Amino acid sequence: MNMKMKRLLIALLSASVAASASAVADNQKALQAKADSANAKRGVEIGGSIRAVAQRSSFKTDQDPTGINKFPDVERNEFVSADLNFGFRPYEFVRANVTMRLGGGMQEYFAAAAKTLEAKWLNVEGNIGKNFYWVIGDFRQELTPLTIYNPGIDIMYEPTIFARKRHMAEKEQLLEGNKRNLQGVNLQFRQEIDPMIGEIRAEAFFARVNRVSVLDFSGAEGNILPKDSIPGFATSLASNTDKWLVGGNIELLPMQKNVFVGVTPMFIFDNENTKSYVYRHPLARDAKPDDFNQNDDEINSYVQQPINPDVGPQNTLVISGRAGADVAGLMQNKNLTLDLVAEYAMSINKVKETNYVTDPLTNVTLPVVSEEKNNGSAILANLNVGYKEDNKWSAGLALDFIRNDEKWFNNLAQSPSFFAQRILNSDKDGETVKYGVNSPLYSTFDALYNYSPKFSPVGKSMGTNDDRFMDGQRESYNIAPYNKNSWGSNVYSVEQLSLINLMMDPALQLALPNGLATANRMGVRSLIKGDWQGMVEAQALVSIFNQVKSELEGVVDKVSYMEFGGGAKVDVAKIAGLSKALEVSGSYKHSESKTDLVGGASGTFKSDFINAGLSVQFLPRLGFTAGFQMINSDYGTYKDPYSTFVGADVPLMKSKQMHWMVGFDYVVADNAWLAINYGMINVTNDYNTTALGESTRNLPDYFNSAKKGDGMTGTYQHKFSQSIFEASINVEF
Amino acid sequence: MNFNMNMRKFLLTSALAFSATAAFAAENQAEVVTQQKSLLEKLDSLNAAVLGLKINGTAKAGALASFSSSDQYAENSPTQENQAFTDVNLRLTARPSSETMIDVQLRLHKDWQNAYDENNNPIIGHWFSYDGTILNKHVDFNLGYMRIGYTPLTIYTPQTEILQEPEIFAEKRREALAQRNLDTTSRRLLQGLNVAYQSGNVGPVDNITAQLTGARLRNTAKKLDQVFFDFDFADRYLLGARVGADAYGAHLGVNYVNLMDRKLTARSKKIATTDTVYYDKNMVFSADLAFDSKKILPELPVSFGVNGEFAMSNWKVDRDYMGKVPETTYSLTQKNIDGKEVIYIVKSTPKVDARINEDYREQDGKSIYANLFVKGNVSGLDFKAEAGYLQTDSSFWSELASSPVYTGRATILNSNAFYSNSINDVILGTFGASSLENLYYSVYNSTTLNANNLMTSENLVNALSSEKESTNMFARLDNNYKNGHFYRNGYTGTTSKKLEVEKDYLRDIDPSVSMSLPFGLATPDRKGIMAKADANWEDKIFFNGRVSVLTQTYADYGKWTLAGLPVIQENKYTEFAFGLGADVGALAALDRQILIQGSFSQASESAYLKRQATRIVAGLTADVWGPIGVLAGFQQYKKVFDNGGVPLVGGTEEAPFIVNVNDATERLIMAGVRVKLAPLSYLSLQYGMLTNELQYSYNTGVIAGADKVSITKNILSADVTVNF
Repeated sequence: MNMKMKRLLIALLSASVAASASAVADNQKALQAKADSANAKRGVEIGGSIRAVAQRSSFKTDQDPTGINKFPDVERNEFVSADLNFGFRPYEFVRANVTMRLGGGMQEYFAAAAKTLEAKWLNVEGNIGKNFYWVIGDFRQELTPLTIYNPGIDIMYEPTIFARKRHMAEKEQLLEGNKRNLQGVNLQFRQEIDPMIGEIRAEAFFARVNRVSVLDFSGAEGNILPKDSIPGFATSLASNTDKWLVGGNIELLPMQKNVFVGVTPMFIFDNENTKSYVYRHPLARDAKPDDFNQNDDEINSYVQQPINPDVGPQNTLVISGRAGADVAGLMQNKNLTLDLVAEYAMSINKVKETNYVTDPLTNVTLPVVSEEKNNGSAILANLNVGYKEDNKWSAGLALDFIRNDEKWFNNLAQSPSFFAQRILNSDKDGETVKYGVNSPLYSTFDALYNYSPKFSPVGKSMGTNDDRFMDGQRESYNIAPYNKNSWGSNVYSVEQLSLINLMMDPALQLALPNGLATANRMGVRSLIKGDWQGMVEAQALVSIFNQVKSELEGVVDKVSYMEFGGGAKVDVAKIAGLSKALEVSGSYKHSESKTDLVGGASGTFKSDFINAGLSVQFLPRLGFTAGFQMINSDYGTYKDPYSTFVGADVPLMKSKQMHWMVGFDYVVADNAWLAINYGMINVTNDYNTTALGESTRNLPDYFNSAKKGDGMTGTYQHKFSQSIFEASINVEF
Repeated sequence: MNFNMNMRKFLLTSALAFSATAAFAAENQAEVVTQQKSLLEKLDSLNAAVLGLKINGTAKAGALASFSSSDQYAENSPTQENQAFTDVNLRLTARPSSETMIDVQLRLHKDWQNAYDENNNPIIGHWFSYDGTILNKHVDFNLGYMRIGYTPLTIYTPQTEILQEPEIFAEKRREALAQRNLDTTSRRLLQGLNVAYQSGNVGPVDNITAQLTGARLRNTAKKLDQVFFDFDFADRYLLGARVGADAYGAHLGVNYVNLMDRKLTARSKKIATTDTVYYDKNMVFSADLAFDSKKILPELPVSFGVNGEFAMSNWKVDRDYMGKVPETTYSLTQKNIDGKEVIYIVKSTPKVDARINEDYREQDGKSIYANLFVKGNVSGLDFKAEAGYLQTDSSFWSELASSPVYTGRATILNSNAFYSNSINDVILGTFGASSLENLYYSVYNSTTLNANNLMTSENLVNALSSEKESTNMFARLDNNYKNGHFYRNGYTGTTSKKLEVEKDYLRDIDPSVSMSLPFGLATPDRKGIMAKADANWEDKIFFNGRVSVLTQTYADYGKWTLAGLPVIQENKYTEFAFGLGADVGALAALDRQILIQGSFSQASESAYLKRQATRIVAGLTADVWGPIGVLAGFQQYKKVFDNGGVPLVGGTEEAPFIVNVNDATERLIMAGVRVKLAPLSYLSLQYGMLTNELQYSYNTGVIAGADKVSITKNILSADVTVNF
């Protein structure tokens, strides 16, 4: 019995004893309360998941024979996280859901005893009748790629051995497909009016996307680039104000739900009346810990500052309208696929700019706030054509056409779920870890597949007293635990998104770094898919996009993107009639971008991505999996002038990354397996070192420009490898 | 139990509770009542007999927005503050046997946002206890968290009493208290072991009770460089015991409470020469006596009786500081005297640094009170009236009975706002936001730990006297990885040592608990009479009345020299209050409650700050239709400081200035709708308007004058609560 209930009952009981004439009524109330209390306790449903990883990654390079880099070559990540999902009153009209995460590490030398116990997911939900559903608290939302969407990464025929690793990394962040995790209120209503008039679906949502929050500028989390400050970009995720999302979605599905019209208005705004300030010591963003001197009165004083000076107030209205028809459905042809959906969305983004103007008479400088309205639009049309013969074959074409202008902005659809991070052996390049793709030891595969939820980094100095601890701080983080993971559901501001886009991985996110809602793109993506009796499946992809408008007028004339590729998956077991699974898969994809400069010169980036996978089951539940991936990238001669802001000081010319992994698995059910794997990541990067500046952040610290081969030749080839031995358990129940 | 959250009910205090016996139910109702009670008992025993583990709790999700306006806010001050959260309190109870129960309560709180990873948002364990009724129901025990009450002069929690407090306010107050793990009873929240024995009938004696309580009140700070608000240098323990016997309607009890700081925990640490560590010991011995005629004259519709207590206290403080003491040392010295090598012993007494302990203060005091009461039920009218006398020495001190849970003086809503001039900053920073805001609003946040909310101290030795931050603080930031749970709340469960109370000269300035008895019945230096009456006519009409005249003879205002008050002066307090409630629904024989309530109270003093506090309360709680109910409340609280105002000091040490707050007018209007969504699940929509106006005079040394600060807060909230 909960406390409140108990109090109420005791109150009622004592009243019933002391009082008299009202005893019947009071007892009646008490009985009603008891009946309510009994009804309120109808069961609990417990589910959850357990994920455990024991992983050893050994870094190796031949280019540091004298051991200039003294940081550990080996990283061990050993952790278990158990999510316990409680569903209270699971069969009632009102329910409560709680996910607790219990986290344990096996080598947290910082805080061995500090196992984490976290509140990960909390909400209350319910329904009124069959038509109305509501949820308050954590919820997931996905509408359309132009409205609310969490754009991810598509890897054609990704080998199972890697796909499992990615599944675990994404689940650690509570991601589900392209759904965005939000916190607020979601109301949904569905009503079938008539088969011809159809079903009406109405939805309203209200969420706080950020809140007034002070974060340390030096933290590995809460910052895109800790300790850095770049004019025009926001490196911190701290917020001056509360940021809200308010919106609705109305859809009508007439003609037996074969025709579809919908409209979504959304308003994303910073609640400017909540703009708060913080009192900080007057220290530079990149101050070292020992720059704080409490005997210096100026430094020891507190100065009122904006919480995050780099982000302006957002005020964005997004309106999307769409219509579609399932022609095959109208024709009542079950074998045919023929549907078309077209969506048009516009964004009205009010941007405030503060300029300081000096009055020539009084010579007083005053801030002048000007407001500009940026109207953007986006068009997305999707056509699916296909035909299938049941249990024989199927073939289909999916075509996406987009035209998003350069002012189109909707951070609820554009914030990517993948933001490449350095994961394994991050201690080795500690100072530059924050630069992600531009960190010298970066590889796409490391960022895609590995994670460590409570990673304790080593300091620059190995001493344990206070002074050594202070000296041991890195440029990319504080010496304290943090969560290493490239995946997330964060909603970024325009200034944060621009910075993240500078740091996208071109091998994965070249053409559409922000999904189908990427601004300044026009083009087509087509995917042809065929299946033969469920035994062989093949796909071919072609996409061509252009920038609508130059992002660097006067310098860049035109940028175009092209991707093509294909792949297949063969179920050998089915073909050969084997009783146990045997599947091979492979794919190839070429990505290319061409930047034409105003003067006539041009630069081309090219990248090839190969995947090959094998999955064999040789005993009941026991199997063998293997995977191979390779990315060859040629960066060409054009270098984005902004890239030096994000650590790309030295032009990278070519990059070759290889990833293989083999292992045994014991599969109990879908998403329940134990795997023991061994694999390697090999990376060869060629840099152009003819004109080195003072800063060489994307080169390893053991690079020596004076040595032949290490810059004297004009090129520097950096080779390194990571050997990964891991055991993982993933059980979802 | 003192359910003063809802004074319309007929209430009894916990420590001296005599349960009333059989009700005077009408003949035809008696059977129904018996059947109902039997059913309730069955349900209770069914509930208690379920062995094993149960998980219950409450989930609440919603938002609260406070829109504030003030002419005194700085131009760039934020004027809005939002809370948007999901908060779950889980209660896990395990019954290894039908006699005992393990109770664990967890709090999960998330503030809505989705712009950065919030890792490690901890689940707070806020209640752990093992409780039971064993040995054939003769022994009750509590281990871990517990709520214990002895008598008003020994272990007791003075609470704010607002007559006819409307449900919309009472609910807010309960919620604010619950966030601090407190409730509205007069029992005190403690952690330790409590064992109580009840004999039952023994010959002519109805019951013999014996109780033993041990608790740790404070825990010494283990980690000094990252200090926190509950920072203390010594462990503090409670040992309490009481015995009592009941016979023929009379009760006689003896109570003993001993609180002490454990010196060894403090002495295990070094202290700096600037530090002084005080050790506080407080012992109270009391005898309580009560009589209720109901036992011996059960046939009368009216019963009468008496209850009272006599207590003696001893309060003693000694202290440690670093000083020089001579230390005798002997050394062998070699010398050549007349060609002979001589070795001899030299005695020296150099002064060395040492921890010196000395007695600091000691006081013995006495307190006595006695109440006569009459109560009964005549023609459907339940009533109780009591009157009594109280006399407490100025040297009496009983810490566990003198620490109210309400402290006030915090800014709960719109705490991010700031003012255009430093005078208003000082007023709101020290005098605090309005009492009504502190009584009824609370904020609970889960926030990332960062340089701005981590408190550090310069070094490990003089954490007590140094206010400087640690040089290591920027090297010890947490990568924005950890969250902490933070309160903005006007209540606390911590007890205050007498020296702390004396030092904080604004401690008893807010008359919200009581002007004459700010520390409850155990308030030192009071003499006078008190009377109260409560009546309830068939749960349709409710009346409460209170009056008291008390004198403080040797009021020591030494701490008020700043205000120019005489150090010793007699102060006379006069308080009266009355409240009236009517359930119009019941009166009109409707099948729903339409409760209208109101009360008026006034308290004044003749000396000191010449305060006068006036409270007007009105409220409505009505079932409108089906699951929908309407709640509304109005409260005005006016505080006048007629003796020059409350002096507050601002500015710097070199250039201080003085502000005197002369009066404060607060108003709170709340209205809301409550919809029952399902059993024990509610949707609540509320609007509130909170105004606070402070009149003050100031003298900065350069200019002097009078002004006011006026703040209005419009508060909108919507939430859903689900109990499970």
